[in-house]
Formats: sequence, C-alpha cells, structure tokens
Amino acid sequence: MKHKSLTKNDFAQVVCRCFGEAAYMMASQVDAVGHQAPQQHSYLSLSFHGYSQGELVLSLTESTVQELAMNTGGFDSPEEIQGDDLEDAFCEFGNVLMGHVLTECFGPDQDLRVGLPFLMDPATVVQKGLESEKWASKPGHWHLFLDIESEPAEVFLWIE
Amino acid sequence: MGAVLLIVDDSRTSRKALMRSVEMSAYPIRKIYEVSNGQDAWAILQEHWVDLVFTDLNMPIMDGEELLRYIRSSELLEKLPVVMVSSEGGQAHLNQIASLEPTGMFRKPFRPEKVKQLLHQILGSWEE
Repeated sequence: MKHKSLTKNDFAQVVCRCFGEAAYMMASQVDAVGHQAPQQHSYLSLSFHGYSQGELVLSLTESTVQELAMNTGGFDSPEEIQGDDLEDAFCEFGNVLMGHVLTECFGPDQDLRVGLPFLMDPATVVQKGLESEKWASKPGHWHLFLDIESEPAEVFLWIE
Repeated sequence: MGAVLLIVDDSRTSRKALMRSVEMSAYPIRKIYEVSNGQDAWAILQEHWVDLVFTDLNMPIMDGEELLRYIRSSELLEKLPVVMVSSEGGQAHLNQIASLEPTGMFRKPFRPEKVKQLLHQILGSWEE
C-alpha cells in the first residue's frame, strides 16, 4: 500500500472542506440513505496515475451542480450559465477535489497525474458496480454519503 | 491606469473564478485578457502589453508548461511574470517545470486574499 492509511472520516473531511473552500457550499457526511437511481444524479469520473493509480467518482444532483457552477463561476444569475458551463464547473471542481484528496493520501511530493474528468453514463455507473452496497467493502475502496446544502451526494474512491 | 493581466485556462468557470478574485482583491486593473489555451495566449502576447500571466497547467493545444517555455525563450518576453495555476497538489510535477523559472505557483481554489497577496508580491503597489 503506497498511500497512508486513509480512514473514511479523513476522506470525508477532505471532501467536505473542499466543498466549503472551493464551492462555498456546506457539506457534511451522513449515514447511508436510500439509494437514488443514477438517472437522478450526474456522475463525474476522474482517474489518476503515476506513483499510484485509482479513480474518484463524484455523484451530485442537477441542482447541486447548478449551485456549484453559480458559486465557482461567479455567475450572477442562472441565466448567465451557457451551454457547457455546468459540465465545465463540475469538471473543474472535480479536478480541485481530486488534487486535495491525492495530497491527503500521498502527501504533496509524489508524482501523480490526474486524467481529464468526464461525465459517466448510467450504464457505466451500473457496470462499475457503484450501485452495489458491496462496492465499498472491497480493499482500497471508499464510499461516502453526503448532504450538500440539503441535497444528497455520493463520492466513491478506489486506490490501487 | 492599472495592471494588464492575461488569464489562460481551458475552463471558462475557472477563468471567471480568477477574474472574480482579482476584482474582489481591489488591485488596480486596467484590462484582463482571457483565452483558453497557450497558443491563443502566445498570440495575445505578440500583439499586446501584458504585466502578468496566470496560466493553467493542463490545457489542450498548448499547455501551460509549453507556453512558459515559449515566453522564457523570447528575448522580448523572457522576464514577463508568469504564475502557474494548478488543481493538482503534486509537487513533483511542479518541480519539473521549476527550471523554466515561473514567477509563482498557485493552487486552486482561488481566494481573493491570496490573489491580492500575489498581485502585490509580484507587481508591487500600483500607483494610480
């Protein structure tokens, strides 16, 4: 194992802190709640490689993505948000989050490169087993349930 | 009067976030150019005076490292202050471009107080 021991609480703290500092949104870890079908969420995937490898998947509701875009992009109103802005904001936040998680896991000095983030389609979500309750029971896998401004969210992480 | 900035990032959200932080810093700014890749940034630099460049590292067409390489290789622009901006925390990657002598490194997210500190540090107090 190349990364330091990462507890679920450590992971949750990094994620929630990132939502607060980068997106100005209140986020907190919650217990597992009734799982929502992937169609109701947008799933963003980022992978990393180099010293170690792995993937982070961030699942947010549409309204959370919009609020995130408003907060991070400095838009004054939802009408200002154009075309790809929502996806752009989601991807950009994902990059920042990934960077902070990797620093928490490996420290600042390791050579780790993050791939381009992309939105996952529902079929891929199912294929990866992200809907499975057994996903987080595998070694090197973490699964967080979050409340972000009263909206549900999930974060999945696996590290080699 | 005020400083002229060039912001280079393929993310429109990120460009807007930095512009908002610059605005909130209240540092005197005359103009901000914004482009989405290093190639367009290089074109701007050929035509216009710029006091400071903020450039993201990972961009399509021409990334931040290559842009910095171009700038440092130019007799006219070699001393231009360039701040590398990154989402990643990997110091190893940043160490690799240290030989190109970027003026500074900035890790996202942008915070107005840190942007203000950086502007003063690099450009000094701008006398109106």
